[in-house]
Amino acid sequence: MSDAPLDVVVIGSGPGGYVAAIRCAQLGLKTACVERAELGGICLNWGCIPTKALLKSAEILDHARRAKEFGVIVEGVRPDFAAIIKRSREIADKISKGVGFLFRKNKIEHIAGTAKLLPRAGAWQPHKIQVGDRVVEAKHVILATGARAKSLPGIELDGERIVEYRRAMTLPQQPRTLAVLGAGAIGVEFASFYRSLGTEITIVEFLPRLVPNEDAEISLELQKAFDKRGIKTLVGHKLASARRDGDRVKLVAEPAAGGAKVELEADVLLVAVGVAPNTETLGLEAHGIQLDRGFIKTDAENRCGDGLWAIGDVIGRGLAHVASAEGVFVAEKIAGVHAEPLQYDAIPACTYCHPEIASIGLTEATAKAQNLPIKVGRFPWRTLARAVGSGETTGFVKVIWHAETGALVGAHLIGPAVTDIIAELSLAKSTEVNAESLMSTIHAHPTFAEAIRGATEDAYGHAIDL
Amino acid sequence: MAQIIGLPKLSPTMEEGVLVRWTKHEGDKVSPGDLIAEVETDKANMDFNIEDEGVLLKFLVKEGETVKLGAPVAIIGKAGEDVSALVQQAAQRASDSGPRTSAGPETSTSAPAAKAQPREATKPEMEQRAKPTTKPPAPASSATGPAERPQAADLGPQAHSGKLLASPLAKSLAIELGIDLRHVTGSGPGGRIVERDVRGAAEAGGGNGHAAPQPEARSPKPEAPAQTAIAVRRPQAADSDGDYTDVPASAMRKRIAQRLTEAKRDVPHFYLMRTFDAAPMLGFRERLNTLLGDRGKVSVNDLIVKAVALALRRVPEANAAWEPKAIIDGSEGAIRVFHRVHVGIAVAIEDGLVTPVVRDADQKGIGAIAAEVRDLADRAKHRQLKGHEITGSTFTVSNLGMFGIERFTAILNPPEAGILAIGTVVDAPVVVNNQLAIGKRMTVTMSCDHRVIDGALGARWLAAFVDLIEHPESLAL
Repeated sequence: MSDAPLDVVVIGSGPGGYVAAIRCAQLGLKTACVERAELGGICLNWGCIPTKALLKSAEILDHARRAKEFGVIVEGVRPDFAAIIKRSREIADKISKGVGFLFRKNKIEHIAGTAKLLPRAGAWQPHKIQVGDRVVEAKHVILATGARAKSLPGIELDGERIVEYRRAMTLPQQPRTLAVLGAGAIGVEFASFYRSLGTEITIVEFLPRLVPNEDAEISLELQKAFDKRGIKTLVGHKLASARRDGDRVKLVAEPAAGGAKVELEADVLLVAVGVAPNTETLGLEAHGIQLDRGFIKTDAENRCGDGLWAIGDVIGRGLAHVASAEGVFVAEKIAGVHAEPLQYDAIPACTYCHPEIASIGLTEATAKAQNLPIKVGRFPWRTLARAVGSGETTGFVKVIWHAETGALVGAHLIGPAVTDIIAELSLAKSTEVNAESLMSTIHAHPTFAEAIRGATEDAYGHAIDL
Repeated sequence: MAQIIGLPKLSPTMEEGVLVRWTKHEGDKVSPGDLIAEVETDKANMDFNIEDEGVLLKFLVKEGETVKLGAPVAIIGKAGEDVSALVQQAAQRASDSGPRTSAGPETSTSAPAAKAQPREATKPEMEQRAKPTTKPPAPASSATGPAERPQAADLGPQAHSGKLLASPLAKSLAIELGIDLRHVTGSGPGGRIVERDVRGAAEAGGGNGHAAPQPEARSPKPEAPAQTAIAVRRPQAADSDGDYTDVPASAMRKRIAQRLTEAKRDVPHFYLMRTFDAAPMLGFRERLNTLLGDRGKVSVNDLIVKAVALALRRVPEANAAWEPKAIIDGSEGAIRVFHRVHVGIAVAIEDGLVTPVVRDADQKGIGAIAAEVRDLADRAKHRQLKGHEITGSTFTVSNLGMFGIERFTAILNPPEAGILAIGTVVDAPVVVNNQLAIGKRMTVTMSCDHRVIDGALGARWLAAFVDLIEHPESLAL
């Protein structure tokens, strides 16, 4: 069966796909969105959103445990693991339903099923997309199929004891011990969450530091904080083997630089070593779409073929907000209205472990490697009134400014509220606010954001509060 | 959603421009890169290529109007959108941008063309008139914002009372590099000047935005794809056998190529020729020059200009243009009859032509016309003519007599319906009182747009012209 040709079919309804679909519809394009699972994709159902719900439970637990410090008597504090998981799932479900509502509101048809691009009849013919028994035609197809967790060779995910993030947020019971392979955002967030619940954690990371994509000082600060929280870390260690042994997982790690092997045991091993793009069932071959290490290759405007576009994780972006921004960009390109290209050097990234991490731009090491003349300033939370009052004094704000132009080169924050206050630095980066303008911007007192100005003043050697 | 399009910076130093000619009509659909208008800047006639896609819903500026940089010139959007609110907003913005030399934007929604009013100024375009022009690579439309993001439409750097929209970084960098931001075109959201614009300007040699390079400074790196084919062609590319050499065409030459092709192809030309007795005219000229003495000289051409102007008064139907888009009583197409007589005079300049205009030539004395034409021609050769001096003619005179050409036919200069080609004066055997004699004869050829001027009308006009020029005293009346 065949329907009238649509303007756009979006494949995937994650933060890239659903945003692209809605923007297309807003611009008057007849749009449908194919989703084989829950609307909202990984982000809303199995990623950003449910994990933030879990981490909020962990935060409340931490606060309750510290209540006495704040003069509040709270007794009998303990986690209800099943209730925490249930709440997380309910929130994911609610947000996912919100996408369904938005689709109906914008008259976007949700086609349930797995989409496959059929070979095109000719250059001027619409694209044909098969979903189950149905074939839909569209002038444009936006591929937004995202990615899924991958494992390492020799480590088999079994869904019970050796799991990826998806299973890790719906375990039937709280593990007493958890080994985490990979100290990227996903790894440290789960480590942080389960540690707050009381689980014994060991993180194994091949690279020599936690959150290896962040500035080295951030890694160091997180390391100290995790040490304090009793999270064991084996950085610079390679996982030599991991095998299930009854209800346990036995692991052998060895220093990447060589040396004595470390044997570990855990109830559960979380494998968080990265993602692989979902491209296999799309039928890309017939369209000459090229892949780069599995990810779809596009031009600078997200095109991967005539009337074919790809956005988000499936092209290797790895951040929901980038996928969304690309979705808007592509929708506007298709509609032929003005589309402002993304500033890929001005993309913030947030990690919601405790303490939280947020960053934008270049690390100090990268800036130095590029021979940029820089001024670096730091502002520790322990000197900020608001942070002290809140009892959140771990971490700092670090800013890197261009020594000659005053442009923001990078910013690296760890500690309270950083995932929100990074917005100021995102704006500074994308709109070229220079150090001088930032310093002359009045920051409300007392707020966490004051630390950004404080760090900038420090970079210029005239911090008032340091 | 509809948005206002502002006048972009088309030359690095322009502060304002004369909207010489709309090349699209209201209601036309346009795509990014489409030429929508020609704008006379301080440097040259520039193409105004639109960066947005949509339907040109309304022109806010009449041809010939002077417009400040960033001031609203048109509204673009989807077909059928209500633009009344934007028209008001535009009027507000236009007054914010300072006074213009002529009327503000029309608030009526009827097409201006529908009113059979004299056009104050229309851009002539034809062989004799193609002006020094240049096409800036990708003219950044400073005041055109992203469609459907209404706030951005208001963010043009010059759109608001001259306040410059630039990032703090761009500003500090500009000070450091000594760049005048007023001459830099912004490429950021809403036309905001950002770091790369300032750096581009510095590379281009200071105060000279990379998005709007000086005509002279262009060519090595064209930015608009449409230009690539021309600009990447190496100058003077000779073929391997040496049988030919490709000489790069100037922007003016390309303009001439384009405009004349259009005119000759799209306008139904026909030609009427008259040979007349030039002796009275020559005698009259001699008497005038004797009278003038050191106070100047009157040329044959000056007399012809005056005769053409008066002939257009005698036969006003020939002082007209075909307006295909004008709508009267619901049907498209109208003859626009001009109420004033502005005579264009083709002047050859290096590598092309310009056509300065003698306004109200019918009202001016021969001496005044002579002085004015001499001044215009001198300045034309130095490319110093201002926009209003080369626009708005209603009829054109092209004279090749000084080159010994006896007769020729000229290509019309749309939208004008007539052009008169002047040949040289020849000694010819003539019959006077049944006797052969030697007389002075001149042949003129009128090219007519048949949509406006039929054969009989053209003949009537030529008769009026000949009557005037053969009785030159009437030119002084």
